[in-house]
Parts: sequence; C-alpha cells; structure tokens
Amino acid sequence: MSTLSEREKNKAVQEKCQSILTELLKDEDNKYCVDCDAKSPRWASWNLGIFLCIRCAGIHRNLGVHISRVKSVNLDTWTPQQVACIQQMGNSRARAVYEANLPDSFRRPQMDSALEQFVRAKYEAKKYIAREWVPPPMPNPTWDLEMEKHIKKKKEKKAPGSKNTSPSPAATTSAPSTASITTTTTIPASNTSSGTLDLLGLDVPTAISTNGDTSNGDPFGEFLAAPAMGTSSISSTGNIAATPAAAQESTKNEEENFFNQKLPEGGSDKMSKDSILALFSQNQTAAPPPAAMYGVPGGVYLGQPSQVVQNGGVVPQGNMMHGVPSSTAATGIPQGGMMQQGTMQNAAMLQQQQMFMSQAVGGMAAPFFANGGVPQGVPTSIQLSAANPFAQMQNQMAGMNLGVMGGGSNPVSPGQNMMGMGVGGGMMAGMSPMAAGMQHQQAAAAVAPNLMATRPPGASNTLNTNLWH
Amino acid sequence: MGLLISRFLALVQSSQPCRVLMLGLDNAGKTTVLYKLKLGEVVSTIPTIGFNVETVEYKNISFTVWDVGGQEKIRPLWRHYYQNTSAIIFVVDSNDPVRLAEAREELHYLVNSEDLRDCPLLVLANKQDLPNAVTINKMSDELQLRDQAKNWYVQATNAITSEGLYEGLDWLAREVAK
Repeated sequence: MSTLSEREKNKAVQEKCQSILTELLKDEDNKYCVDCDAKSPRWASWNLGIFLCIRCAGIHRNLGVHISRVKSVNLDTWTPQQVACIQQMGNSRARAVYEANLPDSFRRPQMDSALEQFVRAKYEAKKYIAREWVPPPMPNPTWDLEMEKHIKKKKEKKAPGSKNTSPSPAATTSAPSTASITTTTTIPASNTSSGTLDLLGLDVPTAISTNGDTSNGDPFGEFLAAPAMGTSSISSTGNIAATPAAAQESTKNEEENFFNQKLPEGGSDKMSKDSILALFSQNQTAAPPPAAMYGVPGGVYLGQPSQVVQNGGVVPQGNMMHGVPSSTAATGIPQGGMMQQGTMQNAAMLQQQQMFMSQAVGGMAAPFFANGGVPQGVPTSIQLSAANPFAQMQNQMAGMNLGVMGGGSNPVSPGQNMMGMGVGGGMMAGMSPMAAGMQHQQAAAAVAPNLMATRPPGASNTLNTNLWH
Repeated sequence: MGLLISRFLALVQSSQPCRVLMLGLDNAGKTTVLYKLKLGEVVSTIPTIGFNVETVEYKNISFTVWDVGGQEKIRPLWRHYYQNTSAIIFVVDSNDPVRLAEAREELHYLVNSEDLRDCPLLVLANKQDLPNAVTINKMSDELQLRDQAKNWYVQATNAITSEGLYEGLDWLAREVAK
C-alpha cells in the first residue's frame, strides 16, 4: 500500500512539475531559446534555469554537467527542485544575468560553430555575466510533501465511502472555487514573471533579484500557505489563481463533492491518473466557466499533444527516411511515398500500430511478415472507421507515436542528417531489414502506452474517459 | 575458376557480423562515441530522440552499433532493441557522479533481462577529461559490477579524443570472437 501511494504521489508530483513547466513555457520570454532565439524551446538547463532549443541543448551538453544540466521538458522526469530552479530564473532573468555585458551591436550567431563559441563564452568563461550577480541558493520546494498530505487527507475523507453524493453545485455555481480545487490537485499557475513572484510568496517584486532569501528558504511552502495572492495579473492571463489557504479550507466540502461527482466510477479511493483525467474531461463539458478560465479551448493540456504532432511535422523528409521506411520496406507495404507527406504520416503510424496489435494478438511474427506484399492500409482503415472503441484509442496512440517517431528519426545534426541517411538508412535496408523494421515498429507501438501514461488526452476532448481504464 | 576464388576469398575475408547495443543515460556521450568510431571525428550532436545506427569495421568484425536515446521517458523503449544483440556497450558520464546511481539501476535492469543474458558488457567510463570524473575503479564499485555474473569490462574513455575507445572495442572483439 505504501508503495502504491508512493507511486501515486510520484505521479502527482510529476504532473505538477510538467504543468508548471508548461505554464513557464507560455511565458513570452520563454517562448524563444535563450541562446539562439529559436522558437518554442522544449529543452532546459535546470541548474542555469533556462529554456533551450534542441540544438543549443546539444551544445550545452558539451559543456559538461558541472556547467549545465540539460533536460527535456517532455522526455525527462523532473523533481520539484529542478522545476523551482527554472521558476527562480527563466530566460529573461538569465539573459539579464549572463548577457549583462553583451555588446549592443551583438548579433546572435546562427552557425553551429559560432553558436557553440558563444555559448561557451557565455556560460563557461562567463564573459558577459553581470558582475554583481550572486547565484541564489538552491530552492527547496516542499509542495510535493504538501501534495502528499493532501492526497492522504483526501483518502481519509473518502474512506467513509459516500459513493454517490448528489451532484454538487460546486462546479456550476462557483467557478472560482472550482478553479482553486483544480489548482490544488494538478495545476499550479505561474505565467508571467510577476506570476512567479507571487507564487514564490514574495510580496515585494524586487525580492526576486536578491532572491532565495525568503526566511525559511521554502518558497513553495509559502505558496501554499500565502494569503490570497491571486492577483489580477495571473487570473487575467487566463490562468488559475493561486490557492488561498483560507479558500482551500472553506471549499473542502465542496471539493469533496466535486471529486465524487467527477469520478465516473465513483468510490475509487485513490487519486489516480484516470480520475484526474476524468476530472478534466468532465470539467470541460459540464462546466464551461472553468474551461474558459484556462484561456485555451480544451484546457491547458492542449498544448502538449499538439506539440507532439508539430514535432513530427517539423522533421525534414530526409529524417523520416532515416528511421521509418526501412520498416515499411521490410513489410513490403507501398507507403514509402506517403511517409513523406506530413498529412499521411498519421495513417502510416496507425498502420504500424495496427500491425503491432495484430502481431500481439496473433502472438507470432510470421504471419505478419508473410503477408508483406498485401497492402494492409485497406483493412486498417476499415477497422478504424468501424466504430470499435479501440480505434479511437489507436488514433490517440498513433498521434503519440508520430511525435516520438518523427523526432525519433532525428539524427545528429542537420549536417549529419544526410550522412545518417546515406549510411544508416542504406545499411538498415541492406542488413537484416526484417529485424530492423520489426523492432522499430515495436518500438513505435510501445511508445504509445508510455506516452499515454505521461500525456493526458487533451487532443481529443471527445475521448471517452472510460477508454482509459 | 576466378569466380570461385573470389567467392572463396569473400567468404574468408567477410567480417563476422556483430550487433552491438549502445545504451546509457542521456548525455553520456553515446552518439559522440558512435560517430567518433564511424567517422573518426567529433560531430556536433543534439540529444538523440530515437536512435542512430552505424556499422563499424574493426578487427575483421563488422560491428553494427545501435545508439539509442537515453532520455528517461524513452528508456522503456530500449528493450525493443534487445533481440539478437550480441554485445552491450553501456556509456556512463564519469563527470556526473550524482547520476551514477541512476545509471546503476538502468544497467542492472539491462543485465538482468533474459534477452541479453549472454552478451558481454563493455562499460565506457566516458568524459574522463572533465574535472569531476570518477576513476574506473570507483565506477565499478558504484555500478556494483563486481558481483555481476556477466562478463564485463570497464574502460576509461574520452570520446572527444577517442582515448580508450579502441581498447574497449579490442576487448569486445575478443569476447565476441570467443
């Protein structure tokens, strides 16, 4: 039981970390790579507290972990402390610190080698650093502990087992309270840097520059305990207001009802992913006001899956060639051309998914390869159009696949792409293509559950949450 | 006749294939090692999402090296590459002692898997040039290799200068030839 709750807690913490990062990425300053200005960075150096594009992430990794510790926003798990480091800093402050003495006429290099030189000068030699700057002490957030307590409390409450309380008015009557509940469970808000300030519980805006000198060194403790700080700046930017402790107390009853109402199964005594998901989907359909509060139709999670697809789309054709077609070649499906069209990628992935399923069901690989010449696209599409509940799920999974596969065939650097294609791709086609192709498909298929576990299905609001059980 | 001879020669000369799986935590240096072996030069890499694969001819063995991305959430994909693997190269960032425990966990998960039971394990203690690098002795302790039944070998490397890389391959070639 303890391990179960441990896992549950980890999951909740992970989600919270992810959502904080997602929120941080919405900040205008964090929408561009701190070093090269590339759009929508998905990587971060948590000890430096900055968001990076993948290319600069590569360069930062070359510096060594004693200078920069690089993590992927989506492909790594984060600890609260790491997230707090980024909250404390962020791209704009990082520029103020590390580029304080950058000449006005300086133009950010775009060439690989020049960019590396710049990055090394900036962080390794600290050439442009603000002299008066002292690194703040490592933040030590405790909201994960708070969260644990919260979960425990909730469990205790639910133990008496009021399975079917009447639908509470919480969701419909008082939107603010709903929002605050949501905040306590999964979504912390910190959008603008001023939002971060407030979240840190620092009343004086200038406090952040001297930073880390909160008396107890526990900014997140204050975050949860601080008196109403849901400033207009936060709520107006479409985020959920920070939770005032008092409101939290007063809404506990409502909260209880709220959760019971939201869980389709009812009586599930743990705060599992499913229940959280259920909470969201219902929230959006049943209670428009909270949904509108996210500012984005479909809730905050929308950003992630769409980003996944975007990843896939961004990959140049050559890259797709690198990883995928060898597998299609292995199975003899005439899809080589389709793979290169962004719109058809999904179909291709779906097919792979489908084949994986059939393979799994059949329990053997032989038939799967035997009908290599048959255009399997047809049965696949038929099955999908048939209203079988799996189809939707597969669709979802395929979408996820696309992200990892698309990014997945991401060789070393643009320069090496061609080489990787020539050497790696050619080699794979020549050398035991069956094994290569099949394994890759499995990999593709397997990533779906993996990502499913980590990414809520924001992309399809219509998805029946029951599917996820 | 000439055809026969050339065929015979090809048979004799053709190098023995060996499928090598190169794994390790993110930012260990797997991709750099791979392309250093393949091209003999340091390429500028970006984090691998997915995999890279190259064949490297060495000592009459044709190593097909699969370099799979090591980001935490894509590590569960590693197992899909296990099948038919004849050797494992596990790359560790020696400069990152904090994450040695994490590396150990992944490594132990690897070596305990059935598919990789008979594979020799080459551990590359990479980035030896960096300031906080741990020694290979410390590495063997930290990774708790000494109580492994598996055939293992720890090699200190610096992928940038290719120090130690070929020593590692030498060991691997010997093990594979056995």
